[in-house]
Parts: sequence; structure tokens; C-alpha cells
Amino acid sequence: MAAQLRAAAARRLRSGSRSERRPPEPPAVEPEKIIKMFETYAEEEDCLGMEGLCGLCEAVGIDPETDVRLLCFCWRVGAKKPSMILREEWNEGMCRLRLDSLDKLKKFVLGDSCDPTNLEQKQFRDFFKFTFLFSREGTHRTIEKDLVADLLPIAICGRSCHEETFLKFLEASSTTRVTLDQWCSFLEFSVKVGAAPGFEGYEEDGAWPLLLDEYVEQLKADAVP
Amino acid sequence: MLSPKIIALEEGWNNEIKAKAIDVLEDMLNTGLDKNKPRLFDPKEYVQTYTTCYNMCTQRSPYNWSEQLYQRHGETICDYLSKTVLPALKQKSGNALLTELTVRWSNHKIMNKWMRLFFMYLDRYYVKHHSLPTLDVAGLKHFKTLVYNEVKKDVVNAMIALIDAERDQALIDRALVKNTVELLEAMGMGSLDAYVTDFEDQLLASTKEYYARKSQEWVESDDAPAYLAKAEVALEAEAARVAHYLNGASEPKLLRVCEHEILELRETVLLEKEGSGCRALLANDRKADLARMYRLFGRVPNTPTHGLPPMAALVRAHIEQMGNDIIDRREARLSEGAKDSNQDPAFVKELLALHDKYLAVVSEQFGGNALFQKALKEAFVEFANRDVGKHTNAELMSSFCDRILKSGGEKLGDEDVEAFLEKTVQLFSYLTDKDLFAEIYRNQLAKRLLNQRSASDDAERLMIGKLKLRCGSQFTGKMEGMLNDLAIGHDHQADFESYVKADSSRSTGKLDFSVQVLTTGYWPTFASIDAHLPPEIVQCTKVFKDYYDEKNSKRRVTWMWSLGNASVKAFFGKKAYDLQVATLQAIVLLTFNPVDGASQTLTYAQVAERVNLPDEHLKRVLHSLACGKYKVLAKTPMSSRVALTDSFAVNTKFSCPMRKIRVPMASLDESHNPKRVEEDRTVAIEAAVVRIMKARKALSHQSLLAEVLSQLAFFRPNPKVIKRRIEALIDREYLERDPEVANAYRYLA
Repeated sequence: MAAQLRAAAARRLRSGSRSERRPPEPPAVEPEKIIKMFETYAEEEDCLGMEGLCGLCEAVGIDPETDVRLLCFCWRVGAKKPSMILREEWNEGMCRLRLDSLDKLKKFVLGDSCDPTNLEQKQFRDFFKFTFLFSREGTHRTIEKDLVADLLPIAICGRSCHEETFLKFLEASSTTRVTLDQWCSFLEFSVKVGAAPGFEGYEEDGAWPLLLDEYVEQLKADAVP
Repeated sequence: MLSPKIIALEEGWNNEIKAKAIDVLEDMLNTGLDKNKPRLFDPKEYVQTYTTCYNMCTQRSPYNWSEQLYQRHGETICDYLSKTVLPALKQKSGNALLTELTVRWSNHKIMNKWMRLFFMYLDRYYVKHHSLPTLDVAGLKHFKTLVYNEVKKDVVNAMIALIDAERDQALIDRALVKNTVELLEAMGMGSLDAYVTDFEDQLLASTKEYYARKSQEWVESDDAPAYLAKAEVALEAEAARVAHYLNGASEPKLLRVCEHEILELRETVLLEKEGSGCRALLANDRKADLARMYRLFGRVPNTPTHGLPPMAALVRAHIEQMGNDIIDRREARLSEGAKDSNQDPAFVKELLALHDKYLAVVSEQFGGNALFQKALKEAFVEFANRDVGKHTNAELMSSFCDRILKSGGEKLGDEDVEAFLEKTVQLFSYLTDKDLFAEIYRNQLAKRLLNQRSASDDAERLMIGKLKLRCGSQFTGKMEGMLNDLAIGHDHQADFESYVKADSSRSTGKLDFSVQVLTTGYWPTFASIDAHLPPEIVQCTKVFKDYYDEKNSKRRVTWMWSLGNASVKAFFGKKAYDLQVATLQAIVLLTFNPVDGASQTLTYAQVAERVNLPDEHLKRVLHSLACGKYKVLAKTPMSSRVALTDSFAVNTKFSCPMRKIRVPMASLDESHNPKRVEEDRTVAIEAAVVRIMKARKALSHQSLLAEVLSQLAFFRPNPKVIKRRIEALIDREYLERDPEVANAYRYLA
């Protein structure tokens, strides 16, 4: 595995020098260091699970329970399964991001690259979707609403003026679980409709998920004195 | 060579033409024409004049008098018209004027004719060479300019006065008007312009004013039917008037004016008149009046406020009212304590009767007009789906059919059966929840078939055929499947029997064992009971299973003990009885057979253990055997209810005069499962969404909703329900929300 990474890195270096004037390549990444980092933190042979991630967070200096940067990091690395980073994902991602030491990792996580507030809309949408997928429990496709209540404030990064009211509504409602579709639609709703006084941008007979229809209904009912 | 004598102008004119022809002619006209004389001029006289004219026109220049003769032809006529004819007319007025005009016009025609004949040679060459009006036309023009234009105003007024008088029921001289119309037509010189501009326009204006006035009178004094009767009479009279003495081209214009004043402008008032308007007529079954109303308003062009649409709207409102009344009465009956069962044949019959009645009205009084058919349909759809009480109208209708198709239900002849079924299917077509009806009907059909309560196989197929016609074969597939299962049952049974006979090892023992195989998909789901069967029966089932497996290796047979019948031979003392019971009853009875010669008394629990029936079934069975009419079992303690603490034994004291006894058992209320209908709907909606999205690839939310609703024929889901299914499909990744277009979806292959 390491050999392959090394070969890939070398190839990139070589192809650079063959062509015309190019900016100097940044220092080569050392794949063995990446692998070693994985083995330091991973609690299992092939994946870095929650425990491992917690350890990683500790090393970096962020709180795994409340810090959105953990999620952002996992997103950037390219984790596909909930609550874990697989060995291949780690190797490929860390290599791509050129993080072969804890220092570089720290700089990365604590810096702008993992700050979702700077992401533009399309990217943020993708990130927001990731937070849901990553936070699922095991093979479940949906997330329990209590978990959503914890996750949403972290993941939304202040981009929604409906954060509080929606969570209040969700708690009182009879729904027990939230689907990916509902999660993403909430963001869409916040962006498209936001604080518009007459709910411009929202159509009652539109394709908004029923949950949001009920939410708006609730808001309208509450607004009537 | 003698040259003929040259005729001088004045000489020829005064001596020959004027004296011998024109003056004579004028004289004759002035004094009145002699009826005995067929021709005004006999040939000899005529030829002479003609020849004079001819000669004067063919003489060599400067003696060619064509131009002069042509001029003088005109002058003569003009002279006569202005000096004689016009003054005569100016003296008269009214009818006298018309009479005089008729005469003068007739005279002019004669004069024109003879003048033309006399000067005919001019027409041949002179007129053509100089592109002048022909003599005939010239004469006509002179009449028009000098006479007609001067008197036309008075003449037309006189005509209209006559027409108005006739409208007011006076008898008039129609020929007078007709002749004047003929004059007007002639004055157009090839077109109807004079007729239209000088007369028709004014006629239409005065007609309008006349009927505006008249209709106001009628509206104030008459109710709607009386008004319409008068209107019809007036319109017919106007049409007749045109036929009698006006030009045919006037008919459509005249009638349009009349219809506008009499019908169109008064329509709303008439339709809505208190006590005699459209709804009142419907309420009182005033057939002839309704037909007339339809006829008359049908003449007015259709707009939302005029013509037939407003009438259709009132008809619809009326039928809706009547239907809602029927439903209200049912509601009242239920709230006053009537039993809320799944049967209400009187109610269904009321609805059918209402439908019959207005179907007839639409076809007879309203000529089957599409607007009214639509009104009937829309009205029925409005209230037919109004359910009151615990049972839906769909269920009530299905039960109504059940009653008719059941043996021992309503006693009806074949034609009546067909008629009721046909009408019920028509009523059914107004239901939105047709799939609910199907589910209930299927369950009731299954019950009828399995309990052998169906009065007639033909009637069953008839009804299914009607439903199939209206809804397609998908709707009736299961029903037909059930009937077919039973139809081929006999053949299978015969086959089974020959199988048994073929080999002595395959024995059903002493039992006459027959099996009815049901195809699972078609029939309702029955409770599967794992009863402990007596060994005799077990043996039979084994033999059948072998037989069936041989024939159909891929199919699995499950026994439904809750269905089926048995005939049990029972000995009470010396007497033997044939008990006709259900299979479950038979199983229970057999457990009471004496063991080792001793009769048994079993507690409920013991029986339950032996037969392994669930309580809901066992209780029913024991009740039927111990507490019913024929107490073949004795229960301790004696009571009308089966308690878990009771014990049972064979009732040795049992006796009955009959030998063959049917011991009925209360059946479980296997009513339709509303959950099943819900599930089927969920599946149907999702299938429709996937089908549509697969075909269209990308679609807006509104379009998808509309398509789905149009594809679902048998029920009408709420858009929210459809939305929920769409979300479920998004979750299962059949579709996705279109990332670029708001409120739209894309199909995921």
C-alpha cells in the first residue's frame, strides 16, 4: 500500500518536471507517516471509529461532541460510512490533503479549511448532507429526532433563522425520525425562504416535504394573535 | 330605286309613336285595364309602332334619331310618373297609400314592358354601343327615383303599422304587404339593398321595441310557464309572418331580435322566478313546461349567463338538493336511534329512484343534451360520496347487491334483478372510492359462494360483466377468478374420485370426501386454523394431498377448516339423524364420541385441548351445538352463553321430528379490511408515480400530481397522501429532487 502511494507521489513529481515552467511542487507527502498516523489512532484494523476519532480530536484540541470541525474534517477526508473513516479513505484523503503529520493536521483542522462558515452555498449544501449521512446510527437510514436536536445547531452553522423554532416544532410533533430528504430540505427552506415575512419562496402546493408544510402551518397559526 | 321616305323626328314622334302608342297606353292605364282584353295592343298595332321606331333608328345620319328616341323614352316615363303617378300617391296615406301603390306599381310594370317593346331596337344596338342602361332598367330607375324614393318613408310606416296590428291579433290584408315587399325587392335592382335599408332595418327596430314592451307586460303579469307559452306562440307567429309575406332573408334576423328581447333579456328573471322558475318546475314535475323552457332557451346562444348553461346549473342544484335531502333523512334516522347496520336497502332504492327520475327528465324533457347529462352527473358525484353513519355508501350499495344476489334475499324476477343491478352500477359510477366498493363486494361475493348462498351463477356473472364494462378487467379479475375456481371445482372433484378408485391404497375410508380448491390471490384471506382433526379426516387429507401434489408439483395446499361443511350421522338412542354442520362443528362433535363405551363429559378446557381451536371459534361452535335451536350437546350449567367454566356432554334427551337437521352457526363478522384497501392504495400510488417518472424522466411537482390523479381511476387520494408516497420513493432512491429546478423531480434509473 505504502509503495503504491510512494509511486503515485513520485509519478506526480516526475510529470511536473517534464512539462514547461511550473510553480515548484510543494514538498512530497510521505505516505508512511500517513499510515502510521492511522495506526496510532485507529482502534480497529481497518477503520477509525468513534473512539479513534475522539482520540484524534483530543490530539488536535477540539471537542468531538460539539465541534463542527470534526465533521468538516471527515467530510474533507472523504468518509463514506457513518461514524468512521476507513483505512483506504484515510490514506487517500490525507494524501490528497497533504497532511502527513499531526502538526499539519492541526493546522488544517483549526484553520480555514475546516471552517464551514466560509463555504459557498453549493459546497455547504454538500457538507450539510454529509453531516446527516455521517451521523446515522449503524444501518439506519434516518436519524432519531433527539439526535437531530443535538446535531442541527452544530451542523447548520448559523445559516438558518429557523433553527430554534424548527427544533421546537420538531419536538412537539409526532414524527420520531427525520429523513435525509427532510434534513436537506430544511436547509433549502432556510436559504430560499429564510426570514421572508410572507413566506415568499415557499409554496403551499409545492414539493416541500410534508414536515415543512406542517412547520409553516404551525408558524402561521402561531403568528395569529 | 325608290328610297323609303325619311321620317322626321317630330313627325314620327308625335304622329306615330306618341299618338298611336304612348297616349293610348297611358290612357288605358289611367282608366283602368280592361280585363277582357288580354293584350293591350294587338300585333298589328304593335308592329306598326315598332317599325316606326326601327326606321327612325336606322335612317342615315343626320336622320338617325336613336339618341333622341332613347331620351324621349326616358322623358315620357318620367313625365308620366311625376305628373300622374306621384300626385296620386301623395294624396293617400296608410292602407290606401299601399293599395294605390300596388296599382301604380303594377301599371308601371306594364308601361315599362310596352315602352321597352316599342323601342326594342334601341336595346339591340344603341344601348350597347353607348353602354347605357337598358330600357327596362332605365324605366325602373325612373320609378325608383321619382316615385319610390318620394313615398318610401310613408309606405314603410304603413307596412309596419299593419304588421304591428297583426301582432295585436288584428286581421290584415296580407297581400297588400306582400305586394309592397315585392316592390321593395325589385327596387334593389338585383340586390336586396332597398329592401334591407328602407324596410327591414326599420322593421327590426320596431319589432325590438314592440317585444321589449310586450315582454315587460308579460313578465309583470305572468308566471314563467305562461310567459314562455306566450313567447313560443309569438316566435312561431313571427316565423309564419316571414313565410307569408316577407322576404325569406329576414327570418333569421327577425327571429334573433325577438329571441333577444323575449328570451335572452328576460332569461335570468324567468329562470329564477319564485314559485314558477326552473327549480319550481323541476320540483313539481312540470314536464311540458320544462320541455318548453329547454326548447326556448336552447334558441339563445350559450354563454355562462344565457342560453342553456344557467338552466343546467339550476337543474344541477336541484338534483343536488334532492340527493342531499335523502342523505339528511338517513342521517336523521340514524341519530334517532335506527340501527346503523351495513344494509339500508330503502336508502339505496331512494337514490336509484332519484337517478331514474332525472335520467328520464334529461332524456325526455332536455333532449339528452350534454350540458344536462353533465349536470346530473356532477350533482350525483357531489352527494353520492357523502357518507353518514358507520358504513360508507359504497358498502351500502354493495350490500344492496348482496341482497339481490343472495338466495333468500329479495325475491325478484330475472328482469328486475338485471334492472336493479344495472341501476346500481350506474350509481356506483359516481363513487370516488370505487376500490373500496370492489373490496367489499369481493368479500360478500366470497361469502355467498362459499356458503352456497348465491341465487344464480348467471346473475353473478351478469353483475361482474357490468362492472367490467365500466371499469376494465383489472377491476373484476379477482371476482371472475373466484367464480372460475368454483366452476372447475366439479371437474376436479370427478378427477379426484377416479384417482381414489384407481388404487385401493388410496382410500378415504368410510367418508365421502370432496375438496374445493381456492386460488389464493382471488379470495379474501381466511384465518388459518391448526385444528386437531379426527383420524378419519386426516387420512382423507393425506390422500388428497398426494393426489394434488402429483398433479401440481409446484403448488402448495393449505387447508381452511373454518370453511366447509360436513354431514354427521348421529345416533341418539334408537333414532339416527343426519346433522348438516360446518367442518368445525363436526370436529367438535366427534370428540364427544364415547370412549371405551363410556359417554364423555368434557369441560371447555378439555374440548379446547383436544380440538385445538382458538376461543373465538370454539365458543361459536359450542354455542351452536348447545344453546341453539337444536341442542345436540347438553351444557352444564344451562344458559344461553358459553363460559370457559362450562362442561358439555352429548344430549341423550335430544329428539326432533325431522331426520335431516341443519345446525346453523353464527359466522365470524369477516367484514372487509379497510387496512387492505389502504395498502392497495399505497401500492397503486407508488406504482403510478414510478411509472410516470420513468416515462417522463423529469417532471414538476404539480404536473406529477395531476398525472397521478388522472391515472388512478378507482379512488381519489388527497395530494398530501401522494406527497408522502413521493417522499418515501425519494428515500428509496427511485427519484430525487431536481437540484436545478425548484419543485421538480428527476427519475433515478
